[in-house]
Amino acid sequence: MSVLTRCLPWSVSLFTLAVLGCGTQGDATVLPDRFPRAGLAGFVLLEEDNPFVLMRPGCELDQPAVSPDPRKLVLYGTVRCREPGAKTAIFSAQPTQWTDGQDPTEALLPTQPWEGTGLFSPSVVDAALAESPTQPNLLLFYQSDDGSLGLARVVEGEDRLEKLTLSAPLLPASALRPPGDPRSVIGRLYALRVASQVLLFYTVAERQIVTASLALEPLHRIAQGTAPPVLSEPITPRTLLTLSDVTLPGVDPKTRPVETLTDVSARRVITPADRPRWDLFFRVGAGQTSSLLAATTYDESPTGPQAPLPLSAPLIKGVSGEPRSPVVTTYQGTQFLLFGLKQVQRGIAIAKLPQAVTPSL
Amino acid sequence: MTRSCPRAACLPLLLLVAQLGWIAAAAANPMDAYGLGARAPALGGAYAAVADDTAAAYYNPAALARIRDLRIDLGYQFAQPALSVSGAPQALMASRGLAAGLAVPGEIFGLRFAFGLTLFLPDQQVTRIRVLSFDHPRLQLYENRAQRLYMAATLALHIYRGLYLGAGLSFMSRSQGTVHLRGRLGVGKPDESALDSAVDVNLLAIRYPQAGLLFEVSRNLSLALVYRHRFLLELEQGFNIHADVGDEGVARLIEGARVDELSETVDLFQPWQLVAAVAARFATVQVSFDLTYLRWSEQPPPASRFTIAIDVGRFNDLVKLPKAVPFPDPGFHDTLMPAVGIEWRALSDAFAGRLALDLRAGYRYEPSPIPAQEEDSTFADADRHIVSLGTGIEFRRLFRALPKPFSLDLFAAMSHLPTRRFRKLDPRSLIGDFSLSGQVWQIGTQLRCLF
Repeated sequence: MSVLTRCLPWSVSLFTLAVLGCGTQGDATVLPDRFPRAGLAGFVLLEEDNPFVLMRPGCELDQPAVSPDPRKLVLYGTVRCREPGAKTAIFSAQPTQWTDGQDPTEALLPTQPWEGTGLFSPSVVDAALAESPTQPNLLLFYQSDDGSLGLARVVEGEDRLEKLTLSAPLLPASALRPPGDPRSVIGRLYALRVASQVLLFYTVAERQIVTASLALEPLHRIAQGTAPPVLSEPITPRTLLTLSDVTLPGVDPKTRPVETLTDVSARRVITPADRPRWDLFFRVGAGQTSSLLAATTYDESPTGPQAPLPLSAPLIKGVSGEPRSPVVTTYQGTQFLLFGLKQVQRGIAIAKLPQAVTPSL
Repeated sequence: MTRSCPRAACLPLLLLVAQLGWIAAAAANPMDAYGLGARAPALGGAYAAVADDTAAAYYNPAALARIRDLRIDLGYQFAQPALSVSGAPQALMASRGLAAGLAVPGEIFGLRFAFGLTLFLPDQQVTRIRVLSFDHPRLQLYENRAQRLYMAATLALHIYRGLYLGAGLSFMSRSQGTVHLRGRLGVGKPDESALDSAVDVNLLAIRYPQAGLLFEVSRNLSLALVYRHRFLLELEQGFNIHADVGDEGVARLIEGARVDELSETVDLFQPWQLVAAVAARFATVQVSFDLTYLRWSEQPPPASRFTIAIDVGRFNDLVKLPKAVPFPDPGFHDTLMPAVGIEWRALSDAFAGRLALDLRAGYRYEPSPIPAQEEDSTFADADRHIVSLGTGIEFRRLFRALPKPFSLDLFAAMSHLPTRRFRKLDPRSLIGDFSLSGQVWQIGTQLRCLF
């Protein structure tokens, strides 16, 4: 007790000095805005001066897609080099830097007669019957130059693509066309796995976005090699958006209506309020002007979105060059917009929401 | 050694007086978010019928008249919110600072009274002003609210036997400022504009009252009623340009052009509050209960209103200003906040009567006043469950300089915000659905001395 008696006054004085000292510091820190956004508009380039995550001098990279394997970031897309007779191939890449302009590797080349002069529109789904983050069964959908649908398998452990559709496409372009529209051009097709089906989103005649569904089970059997790689069941395309539904951001639709609707991709997210939201990303154009846009809807239906509402704000604005083929993905909790961007040449550019923290690769 | 004690013990008093003098012109606000002192937060804030120190200025001004000796309380408290929105940790400032109080009792014509000054001086921002557009997402109750200085002057009277009455004023300062530019505005050669500038800024004092009633029904039972008035901190900032438009040496394009802009911002809001409280003692245990009604429905839109007037003479027809759209009512709703505290005197006369020890615990439920955020606004908040623990050590007759008891109080509290999910009606919302969850961690200490 006597020790306490001796020390206490000095302790009290020190304590007082400490608290008064703290009370005079001040702090002018501006706190960053970390409030998450939906990821439907307002993306900005990761680096304005160096926007490309993938780039190859002398070649055009486009139509990015992201593997659903959460263990690593693997990108796919198309590459076409400016050489006589060069064909469009599908590349794969595992970037090690966000804005390094890394050179991808050709992973799939057109070799079959039905594939024509190039392979386009890669998109990857996990075809495992029970969704498993550790043992995915990845299938890559692609299109031939007439829009027919092909299928390849991602060889687990080797990150190599192996074609499954050799002599004939999985679905010919004619099967993808809406009824009564036998000549329309099929645009970029994007596949999305949802529960026990794979939804296909694609554009028809640059005028409408349609969706159709495939059952997962036959695809799984094809991937296992227990069924021939051809789908005989007809599909039923359903229109989601048409030209008249969308406008160019900042442009009066009466004076300048949208003329093209292309480059669609899609995602389904479960919002923090535990309900599914479907997002479509696409490009709209009128004359020489084009913009990347999103449309969205809350929809519990397992058959896909019913009536998506387009946004009026662009996915990304103020980008110098010609953006197209948008896809939005989430990596380590951060949403990224990947798109083909033509400046001097076309590469895969990357953008994020201004508030988001960029994770390291 | 014992001779040095009086000088050392005086040092805190001198420093406190110096500090109070230094901030005398500053502002005020109650400690709604995190409490005041160390004993009151340890009891979950159930303190209106229990208060016997300078924290009474906030919890119940009437209880100040219980103090019979000159009293100085000095402490430090810290609160750090750790909240996540949709899983993303939010950058929020800690609220930390010095809590101090002085109570001077007296007696006039047989009527006992006490005068008190109570202060919370945050060590980061005296006041934080952060104005966002109405639709900008924010954690409304964890930003500006916890970053401001509180200062209250209180007078309490012991009216009759166990009946006490007290009232006080809390002070705050609002700013009103205008920038004036006068002269000539060049058109072809804007660099040769000749404008005189003047800045006119006022820090206007605003006061809001609080009052309390305390009735000691018996030695073991107290009842209390407290009212805290509403408080609104508005900021006005103006910008006036009165100038001729035209280049030097040529005829003026416009004589006497005017641009007058005024922004009015609601920076801080505190709802009026009514507290009903009871405290009962059972041998060595004291139990207290407070129920607070908070009139949150009067919360104005937390955003700026802009008015702009332009007179450019013959060019007025070319000026098309959009009409100001009034902000919608944010729709906050009133809340009822219960709090319960328990204090056990574990040791009453240890070390030959020189030391006593109290153990404390508390719980408070603070429902969120923020409604579902389905439309334009995005105010994130969730109900809070606040659990607190604390202790108080009372020292008696330790040295000659302090013959009266003094006590050292410590507390720690944890607020838990269970996940709250917000849905937007329009899927095109750029914010989208979101959820909020997290904790708030608090610690604090206080030295309470009688002289």
